Amino acid sequence: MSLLSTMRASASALTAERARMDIVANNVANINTTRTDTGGPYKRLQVVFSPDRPQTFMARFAAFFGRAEMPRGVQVNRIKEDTAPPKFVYDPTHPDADASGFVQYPNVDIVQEMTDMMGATRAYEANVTVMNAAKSMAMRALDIRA
Amino acid sequence: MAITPIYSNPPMPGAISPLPAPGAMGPGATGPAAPTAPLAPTSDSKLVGGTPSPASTDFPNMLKNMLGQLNDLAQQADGLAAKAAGGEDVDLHQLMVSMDTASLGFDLGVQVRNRLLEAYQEITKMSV
Repeated sequence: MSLLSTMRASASALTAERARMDIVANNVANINTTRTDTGGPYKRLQVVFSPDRPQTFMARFAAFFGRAEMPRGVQVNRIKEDTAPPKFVYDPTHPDADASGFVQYPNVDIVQEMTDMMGATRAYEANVTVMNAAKSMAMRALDIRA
Repeated sequence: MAITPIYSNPPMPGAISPLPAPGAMGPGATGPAAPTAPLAPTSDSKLVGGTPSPASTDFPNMLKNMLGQLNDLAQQADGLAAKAAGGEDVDLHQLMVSMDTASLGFDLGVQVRNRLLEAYQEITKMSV
């Protein structure tokens, strides 16, 4: 039943956007974190999405001959640290200040995080809309000659 | 490149396929007959005049199988709802999707039953 595959694709996107939202929340929560286990300030995290394709041997075999199976939505491929340099703020009284009085603050930009958050919210909404449309299509099908 | 999903989706309930999937039989259904070498036509197949088909593809089994799958969908939704109510970490959308899928599957089952009943009544009204 292809309705379920639509639902599955949209549901995977919902999960992925939730993950993105989690990461944004984590970034904003750590916006002033100057100390981590690995030393240095917190580094901004980014999610990387990739299409969720069937990973079976037969799927690869079919894809090799240009007969790809139906994709199954999206997945969070990995969560990556942003390598941008930290922000240096002069604050000699801070416990994490270096010898010259500078404190390294995370490379989190609040404006960018807010944009990401809105993006995740809107994408979530869009996928809910797709799912509702798929469901109303199925309901219409059940109305046939009812 | 190896793709390692980090946030993986929980497996969705299986599709309601009209053909019984091997190993996904409903309760009480017998397993699908193993594919055997072409047999000599039995009296059964002579009756319908077709080729012998596996026992699991006949209509009652198909129906039983479908009902079993619908039951699985409903139970999955139930389980998720119970988990969510119990304060476990359940994705809200997964809960909603599985409830929706179960309700859609139920609607489909009701429609199938309506058609069956219609056909039955049509036959009972037939004058011999």
